[in-house]
Amino acid sequence: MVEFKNLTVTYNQGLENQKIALEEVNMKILEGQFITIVGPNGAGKSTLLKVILGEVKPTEGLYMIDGKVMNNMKPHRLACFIGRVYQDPNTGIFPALTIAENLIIASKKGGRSMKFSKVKEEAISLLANLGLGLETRLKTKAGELSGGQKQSLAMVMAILSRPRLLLLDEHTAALDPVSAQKVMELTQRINREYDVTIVMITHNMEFANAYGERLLRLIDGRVAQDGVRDLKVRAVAALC
Amino acid sequence: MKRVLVCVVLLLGVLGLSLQTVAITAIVEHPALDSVREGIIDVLAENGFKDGENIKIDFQNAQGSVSTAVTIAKQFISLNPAVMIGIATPSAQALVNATKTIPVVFSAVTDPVSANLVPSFGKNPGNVVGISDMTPVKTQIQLLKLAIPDVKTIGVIYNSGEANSVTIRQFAKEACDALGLNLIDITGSTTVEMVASLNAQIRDVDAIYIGTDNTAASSMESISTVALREKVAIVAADIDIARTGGLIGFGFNYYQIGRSTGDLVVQILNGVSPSELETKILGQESLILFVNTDIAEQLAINLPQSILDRADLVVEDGVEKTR
Amino acid sequence: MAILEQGLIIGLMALGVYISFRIVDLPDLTTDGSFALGAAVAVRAVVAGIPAWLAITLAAMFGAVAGSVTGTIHRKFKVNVLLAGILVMTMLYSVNLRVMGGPNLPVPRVVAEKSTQSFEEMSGGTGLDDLFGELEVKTQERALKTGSVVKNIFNNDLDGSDLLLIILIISAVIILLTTILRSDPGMVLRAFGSNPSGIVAFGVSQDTLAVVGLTISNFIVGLSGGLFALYSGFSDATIGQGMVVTGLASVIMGEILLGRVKLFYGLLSPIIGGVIYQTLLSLAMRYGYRIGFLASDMKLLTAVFIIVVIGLRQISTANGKRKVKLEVKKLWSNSKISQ
Repeated sequence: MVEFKNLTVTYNQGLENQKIALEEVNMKILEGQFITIVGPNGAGKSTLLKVILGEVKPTEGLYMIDGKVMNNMKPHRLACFIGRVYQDPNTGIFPALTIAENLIIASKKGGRSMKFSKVKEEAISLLANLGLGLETRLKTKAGELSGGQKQSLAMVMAILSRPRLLLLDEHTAALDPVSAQKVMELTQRINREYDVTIVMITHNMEFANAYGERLLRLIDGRVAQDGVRDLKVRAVAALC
Repeated sequence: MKRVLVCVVLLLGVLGLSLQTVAITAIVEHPALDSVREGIIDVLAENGFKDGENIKIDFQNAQGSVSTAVTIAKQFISLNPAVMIGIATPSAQALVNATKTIPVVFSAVTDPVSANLVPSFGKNPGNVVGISDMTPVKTQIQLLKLAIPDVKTIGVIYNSGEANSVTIRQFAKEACDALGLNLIDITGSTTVEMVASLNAQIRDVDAIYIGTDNTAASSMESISTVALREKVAIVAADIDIARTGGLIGFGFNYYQIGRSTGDLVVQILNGVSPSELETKILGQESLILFVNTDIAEQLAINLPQSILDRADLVVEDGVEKTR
Repeated sequence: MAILEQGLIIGLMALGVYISFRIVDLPDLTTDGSFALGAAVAVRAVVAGIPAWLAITLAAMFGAVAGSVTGTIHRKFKVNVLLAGILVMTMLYSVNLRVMGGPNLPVPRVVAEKSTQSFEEMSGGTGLDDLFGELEVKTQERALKTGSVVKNIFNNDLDGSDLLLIILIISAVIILLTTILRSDPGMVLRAFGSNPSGIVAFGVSQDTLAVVGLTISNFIVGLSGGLFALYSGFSDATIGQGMVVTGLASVIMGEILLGRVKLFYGLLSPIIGGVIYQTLLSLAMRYGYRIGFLASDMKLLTAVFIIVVIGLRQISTANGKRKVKLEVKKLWSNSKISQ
């Protein structure tokens, strides 16, 4: 669904502190794929996600979705079918709103006029599956939850918002090992049960090895390695 | 709740009876407005109304904030004073709008009719009366033309946010039109803005006229420095403004305005109804003509003998002399 | 009772400040200007013969426009919201003078019987008249400004009717606001306030939300400005001075009294805060001189109060009681205002 052609992103172009973040990246992300991206700091991993979200515009090359050029699309428009969860648990939720209200916002994403009562059951069962007891605390302000709880809530919200593509940027890094494992399992479920394409950045090699059917290694803004692993999950993806 | 309220009202009533209160409020602290207050208090004392003895004088300053002026007015009402005095337009308006019964005396309001305090000068029905500080603008412009016959363009410095100044500027425009002079507005809502716009426009004017503007009064030191550097004469409607680098000043002394206001207050305290008193301006006998010959020399202006003969205050060789 | 009435009107203004500072988390300084704009529009409308209730509606709508302008400048031109607010506030000073046709506009309570006259016309001379000879200026005829006395919605009789009217208007505003903020779009607005970048992830434009938040805030501020002018009987160019700080002080006062509470009581707290603040202000002016306190010290005291309260909250956070990362940001914006 997502395709990059000769994608180059240069920060501060023409200035003294010019920095090339991504250089001539060519790749295709197929519908339903679970891609894990690894690489050292400053390799361009987060920039790649920002390009997908429309927060950073390509300096050169094309960014396409379903064959349509998205180079100048506004972030909030792209967000209509892209979900995201980041490292900081406070970025994915709305602290001043109750858990219920957070879920409602997620279920209405992109102006969908879905009644919350319809997804309420699903939301509660998702929360219950996490085993954090959040399903009984729907009136609690999200800001009062712990980091792991917030991140789990953010994942549930991502599911409810029914994205085609979910971007995860070290979404387990701030969590304790138990919570991290739970969140990863949920991530896997989102990919398999809900058929959501996932692009996940991680520094956790254990997770990088265990999850995802395709591993992408970025170094200095270039694709250094792109391999499909047979996790007996999906059809083999085409290489670029 | 209601009973408590009644008790409070009664208590305040009793307090009010024990010692008559004279409530005074001014919009801002300012030498001219402070002189008004002193004039009022002096006249009250001369007529046997002394603070702390047989009356209680309550003074509140609004510090330039209209909402504070309204708070003060509402607070005064709760004291049930014998008379309330509002110095300058917003303070007077706040008092007048807060009561229909307690006598209100306003002072230092240039245009009480436009400010909607009274329907006209003279006697009016109702509880409001006062003294206007309307200044002889036409005569001031005539004096300017007489002193500097070849003047063509006059710059009027004022704050377009001050009601009094806008009225005075209107009269200045009429006089300039009649005398064939051009008028340029030099305005600013703060002292800094005012000096900046003066600097920008000073080369386009042959002389400067300043009314009774509070902002201009506060920036006189800078205004006169700029004017003297560019050899431009200043004519002012306020003697204190003129004293800071002005060539000619013709107007009232604000202490006098305070004293006339005090006369009205004394009559009200003696039982006269405000509707029997006249809202008025000060008489021509209170006008003062101020001339600074040192500045005339600096600007190479030959002041006509007729003006010098009539001057009440003349500055010569750095000394002010009374004639 | 008069203090209560005035406190409620100021409290309504504080509710506007609460919306911008607390709910959408944008420190908006348009308030000083939009309050004065509301005042100017309401009195101008009343003078033009428009019924008072419609006049205050207009005041609120003009305030809303001012807020949307600030929001648009902030989002479209990427101008810091503090600066955008200051710019609009500055513009409004000039706009207000135009609206009022001068620096001061009273609600007509008496009809002028004569046009304004010059000193010379009234006194018959200045004693210098013989000096001028050919420079003589003839007096001109000036048209009498016609107009009629306007029926104000406030009668200032302290008979409780003004108080009732104010309470009715405030109740209507609070009910309306609660409904709006509880609805789905209102929820998105609150979500935006608590996590501005997070809301983009759910497909809503920040630009729209910032503009809507500031529009609602200044709608209320404009309404309160209009009420204040009709209540005071006049509008003045400087009527909005210091309103942001007064509003903030009221908001904080309300939070001290009620704490961080549910939405409905949260909206009530700035109103209560406003009444308390006005009462304290009034007491400070009345009895403060006994301890050498001058009215001119009030601004310092208000700013210090705001800083102390925020400082205390910081300390309680350091003890691990509450998470108030947000407050650091607010301390910043407040200290900028009090300068």
